Amino acid sequence: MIRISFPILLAATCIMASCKDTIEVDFREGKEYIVIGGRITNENFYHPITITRSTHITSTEAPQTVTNARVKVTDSNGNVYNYQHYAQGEYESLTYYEGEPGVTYNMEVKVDLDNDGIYEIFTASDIMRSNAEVDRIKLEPYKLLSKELTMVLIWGRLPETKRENDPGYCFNIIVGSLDDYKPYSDMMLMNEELNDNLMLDSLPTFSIDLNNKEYEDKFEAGNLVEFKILSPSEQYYDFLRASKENTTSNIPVYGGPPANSSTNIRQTGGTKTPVTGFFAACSESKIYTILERQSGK
Amino acid sequence: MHRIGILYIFMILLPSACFCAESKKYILSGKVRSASTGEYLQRASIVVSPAGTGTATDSIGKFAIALPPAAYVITISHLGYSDEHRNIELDKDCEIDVSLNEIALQIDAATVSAQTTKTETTETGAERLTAQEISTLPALFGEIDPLKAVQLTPGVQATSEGSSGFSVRGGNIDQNLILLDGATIYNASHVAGFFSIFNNDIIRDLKLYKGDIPAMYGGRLSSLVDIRTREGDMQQYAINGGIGLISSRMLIEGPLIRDKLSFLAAGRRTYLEIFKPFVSELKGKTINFYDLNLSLNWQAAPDTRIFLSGYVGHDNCGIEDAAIGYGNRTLTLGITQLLTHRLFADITLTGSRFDNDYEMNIVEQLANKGSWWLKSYGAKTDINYYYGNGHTLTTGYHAIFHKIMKGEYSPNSPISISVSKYIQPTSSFEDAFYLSNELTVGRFSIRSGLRLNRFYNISNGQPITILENYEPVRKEAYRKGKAYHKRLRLDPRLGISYRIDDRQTVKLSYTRTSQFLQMALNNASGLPINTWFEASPNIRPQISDQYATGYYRNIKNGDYEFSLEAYYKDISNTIDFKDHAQLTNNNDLEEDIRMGKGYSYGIEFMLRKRTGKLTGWITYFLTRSMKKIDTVNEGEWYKSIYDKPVNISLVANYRLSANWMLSANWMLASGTPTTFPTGRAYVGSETLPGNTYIPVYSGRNNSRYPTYHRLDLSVSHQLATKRMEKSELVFTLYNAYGRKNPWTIYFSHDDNSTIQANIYYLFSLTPSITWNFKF
Repeated sequence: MIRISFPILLAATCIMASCKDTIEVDFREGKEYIVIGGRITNENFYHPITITRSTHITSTEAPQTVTNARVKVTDSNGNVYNYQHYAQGEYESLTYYEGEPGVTYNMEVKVDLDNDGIYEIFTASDIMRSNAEVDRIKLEPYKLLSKELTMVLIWGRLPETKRENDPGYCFNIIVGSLDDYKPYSDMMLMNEELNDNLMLDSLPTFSIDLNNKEYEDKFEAGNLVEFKILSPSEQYYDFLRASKENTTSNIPVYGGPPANSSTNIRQTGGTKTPVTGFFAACSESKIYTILERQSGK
Repeated sequence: MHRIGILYIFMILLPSACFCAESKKYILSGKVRSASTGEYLQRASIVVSPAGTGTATDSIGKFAIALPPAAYVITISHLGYSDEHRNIELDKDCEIDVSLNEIALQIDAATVSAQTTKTETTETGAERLTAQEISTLPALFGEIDPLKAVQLTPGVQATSEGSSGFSVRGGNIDQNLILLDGATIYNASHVAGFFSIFNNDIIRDLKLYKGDIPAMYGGRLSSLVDIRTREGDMQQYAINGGIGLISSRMLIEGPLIRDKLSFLAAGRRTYLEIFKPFVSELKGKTINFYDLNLSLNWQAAPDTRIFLSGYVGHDNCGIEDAAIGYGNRTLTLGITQLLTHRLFADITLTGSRFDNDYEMNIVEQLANKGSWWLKSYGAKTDINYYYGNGHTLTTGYHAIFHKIMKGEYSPNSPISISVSKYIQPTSSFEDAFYLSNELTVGRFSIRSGLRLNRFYNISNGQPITILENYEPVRKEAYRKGKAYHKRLRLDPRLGISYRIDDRQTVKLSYTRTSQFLQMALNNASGLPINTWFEASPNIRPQISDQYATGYYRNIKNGDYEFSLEAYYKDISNTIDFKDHAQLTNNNDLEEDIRMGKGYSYGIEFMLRKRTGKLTGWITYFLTRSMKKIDTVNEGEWYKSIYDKPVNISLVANYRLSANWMLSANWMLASGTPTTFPTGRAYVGSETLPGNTYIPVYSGRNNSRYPTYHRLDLSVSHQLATKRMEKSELVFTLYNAYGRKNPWTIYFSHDDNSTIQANIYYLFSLTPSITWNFKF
């Protein structure tokens, strides 16, 4: 069930009564983390894995990259995919490969971070769930509080699930032109059961304000709209939910104290080093449409 | 534990036995009431000359004191009333009925002096506010709020800007037991916490216990806020009220049978809606609340009083096709029976309910509605035996049944894809036996008490999940209605007061409190989205041991009152939540709860000026509050959000003339501890759709919000009128210098990826005007 929840409504009510301003705050120094990110999908691809170091929260510099790692991915079918450094901390598989639902994928990263001859070893694993089907997408204007918005509707079908703990789905929309790629990207999570037959019938997903000045150079007639449904594992869903709370939540209704996004990356060897990020195996379904109208212009 | 309990009971009763063995004394007892309304007066001061001793009336206006045979002059006084003197020749037990005359408002405030001070009471950490004191404080939108007044006393912090929620000595807001005529209030806020549900017009007395809680009360760790409503005028009809910018209120009271049966009805309603045509921001939106209070007071016989009190209040907030509502309902039936002049009994039956509901119809395909509630029914018997001379033995039994429904959701249109969901209500039963003794021997006053709490979980017929290390390991099923899990807790209480002389007192106290019902609280505001949950096989009851001491001094014949208190609290099974816990609409809430230990300590200073044209107080207090929970903050100690080393409040009322009064309060507090990010980590848009960076945190509550400070001002003017008893205009400036105190802080990145801290603040300078009247 998708629900715009009571807390969000209440938060909206409070926001109605509040004013906004910017302030200076003192950010403390914290630990430096090794950051590993990667996602295996059901597409035939080189499935990049990035390895970087975290930076101070106020830093505007690109993250410091880790380029001397040995990276490989294995799966429960016995396949081994070796990776090599491509650029800027991004490692790519030597050959394209396609993730398969039901298969467990294991990542291993070996790297001598301190140049002391001792290899730090990081491992992670994730299981790929079946993918959803998405048949149709439609952008439809509607009004909320006198505001002209565009609702993204989808039609499709979710896969039958066998496990009780399959937690939900992730919707991802990307809007941008092909020649001048300035994408707008947003994610929505759906953490409850849908109607019994799992059909997605004109399901409203994103609500986009095409007139928002922040996005005005990103929403242009003719832009490509890419829509994905991701089927994350339970642990990957938890990572996505925590990360979304940390990056977009600005009202203290759900938010207990913020905390690091959960990670499935474990250190299994070498000098103890803080690590974060996520290695996911997650199937996805895609559909495209063209942005036809731009309200207000 | 049984042996310790028996020993403790023996210790409680022993002083009584010793006292009974003393030389022959007679009992002087009586009742004190208002001459104008017939209402009984609580905490009236009784001073016996030349014996140099005294006492105070209890919650129903009674007092008793044991004295050797002699001639005495008894002086009875109470704030806002003229003193009454009686000559008594005590050669047998004697009972007197005293009516005090109210001092007219026009009389210079300098004459209003009599009130029990902290040097005369035996409790540490107790604060008492009268409706009259509360009404002089500047109020947001002119809405006088008793809980906001409580927030100005030492040891009490507001939890967030504009909120009626409060923390006492570092405790959570759910650790405050708020009673309205004995009925529990589970959410005391209106409009998401900006106002409390208490209409000041109906309040007779508000007493806050910050730790030294009498044994007759229990169930919360940190404090007791005991609010007693007025009984209604037994002599004549009266109407009073107020008309403000956003709300109005009215109270009607009078005798149904003169001197026998009185009633009081009060209502309050907001009307922001009328501004909708003129204020564009209000179009399509709904924010309102109402309150209704009703009470009946029947003096059924000279020694029997029956009291019925009810409250209904509800909030509605909405934007176009979406709405939320929440509200409280309480009902209290009380019977007070004077059995002999030494013995009286109170029987109280209460019911309390807190409801939430919402409807969401913005998108028809998703239209849904939901509700959740908590209700409780209680029965309480208190038996008081006055040995006299400040010596009282009290015993009683208190039972309360709780039922909590954590969520029922359903589609709200034929094409909605929302599905129905119903989380089965859970039930529990809590009861307690208690025994307490208050005794004065020479300069010492000793209060000792023991409370034996029992708590039962009652099966709703659904299997329950048993957790080990916060992970489910098995399910257990019990027949519906079976009490399947029991907790037993013994709470000893002890307070010793030593009166150095007429002006100075020192006190010590030890208080153990247990809490079986708590909130899944993920924010510090008064938002009504928090779910209450019970102790269970997986959730151990929280326990607090508080040690407190204080020094109290009256200066210049009681014109000034000084107090200094210090405390240390040790808390077992303190509750917090795992990282990214889901606290609403969660079938498996217990899996997200974490338990550990905690402590708080602090000092509280207060200087109060009680008389003269200028009255008020200044307070400073320090609160340190820490927690240690295995899986939170990597198992290291961390600050609770109520850890604030600096808290200052200044309250001043200045009577310019008989008709003009100026009031101000200023408060300053350390910023609330919070968790700010320390780093950023690049994970890429493949790993995190819609983003490429995640923030990195180093420790929970490792930073603080900016320092909070605010000045409120008000001017009240009594208008000359012959038709009305009172006509008063009150101008208020809330946040007079427009400080932008953050309600919340969040972070964003600009186009250069520079992090920016944004605040939402609720109120800048907010003026208001209210007209108060009384016929």
